[in-house]
Amino acid sequence: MSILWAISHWLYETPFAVGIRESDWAFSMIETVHVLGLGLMAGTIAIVDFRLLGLVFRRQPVSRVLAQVLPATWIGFVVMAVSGGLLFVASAEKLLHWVFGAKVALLALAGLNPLIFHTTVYRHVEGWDLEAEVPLQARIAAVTSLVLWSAIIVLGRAVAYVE
Amino acid sequence: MTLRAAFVDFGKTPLGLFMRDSTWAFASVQTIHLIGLAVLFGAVILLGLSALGIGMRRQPPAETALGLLPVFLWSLGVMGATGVLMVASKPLRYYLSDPFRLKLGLLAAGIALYFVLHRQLLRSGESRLPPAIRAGGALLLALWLGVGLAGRFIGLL
Amino acid sequence: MKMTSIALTLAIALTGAAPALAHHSFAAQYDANKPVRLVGKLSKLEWTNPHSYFYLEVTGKDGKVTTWGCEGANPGALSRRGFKKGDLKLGDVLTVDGYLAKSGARLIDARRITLTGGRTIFGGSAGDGGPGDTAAGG
Repeated sequence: MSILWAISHWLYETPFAVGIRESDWAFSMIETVHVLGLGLMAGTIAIVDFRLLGLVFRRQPVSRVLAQVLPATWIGFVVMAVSGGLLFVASAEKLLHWVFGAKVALLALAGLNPLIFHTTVYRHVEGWDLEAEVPLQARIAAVTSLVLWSAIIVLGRAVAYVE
Repeated sequence: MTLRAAFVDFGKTPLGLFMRDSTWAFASVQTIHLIGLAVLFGAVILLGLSALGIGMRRQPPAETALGLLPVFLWSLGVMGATGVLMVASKPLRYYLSDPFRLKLGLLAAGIALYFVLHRQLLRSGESRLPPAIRAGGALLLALWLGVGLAGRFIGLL
Repeated sequence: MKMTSIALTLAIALTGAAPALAHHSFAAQYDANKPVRLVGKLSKLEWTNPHSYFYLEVTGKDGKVTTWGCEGANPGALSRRGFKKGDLKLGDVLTVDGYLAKSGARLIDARRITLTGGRTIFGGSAGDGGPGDTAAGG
């Protein structure tokens, strides 16, 4: 924990961090990119989850929907990671709060969820690509994804509150 | 009654007073607005990319439009409801805010264009999308980006 | 469909966590019925995003000196109001009007800052009903 504090404190005092933190525009712009990037990352993931829950694109094979949407999601993820990383550097030691820690933990889970999905039930997607009833495990992954990302957004908003 | 007076009166309704004084209401409503924003922008981005012909290319654009419409409508409803609630907390401040006015204008245009594109895509077959629809897709993304930016500026200025 | 209902319910329930964490939404953190005026010496200045902070050493009626925090707008907003970091020096006497934090902490939401010399900067926005807001009431 104290090494985390030491690194955060060091980051916080770098001219780069100070520059962003005390900027007239840069911080606001980075934060704006981070908020609007939600659409590209979390919004597209939500639509993938909706397909797995049989709510949209029911006549399209699951694998085809994922193949078309996920590239946008990945671009969104890069946007969020870069903007988030910059925001973290700017505020580093101020973010050592359980709210931010919880957000990071949930982000890890949100990464683990699709990893499990893709290496298990999705491996056999040809078997259920167009089935009216998507396998339970896939549906659970979809619900988990929606819940996790909603919680991450809640915590993300809360971070700005407790900074 | 002027529009300004109507805004001021809205703030004095029980709903307005509640939103203004409640310790938790604004924060919660704004958070739901953010979650709704993610879903709404997701739908808009995918429809825009489909119209542009650079995304959702493995299924007919008509299918994309049909599938995304309920997502767009539901999330738009959430955004509208949460938006009204936030305005209720301090209506005069929003009324006087230039970014807010710009946001509403862009929003109206963005919603209208979404429906126009939706209908155009429903009618499009398997053939290559005409330039007008592609331009529409680009404009859709630009308008909604504008909505997002204007919304952010309400709080920043 | 049932799974979606569960998911949506959980997601909405999670937003219930937001109030517990809502420190900065004005109504969440500050009391509009408790306007406060602080006069004190600037002991610390954080010219930071997303909020600036002015720490004042305030002498109470009993002669005791306590430190109060005044939360201000982001640097860009302050700059647009003609206010720069260099306009302030530690030790300057400032008058800050704002609203008291609900938590009981020595913290106010700074709406109007008067510098030594009388220059005034408004931290709020037109129509928010804060100190110096000429728009509200119409």
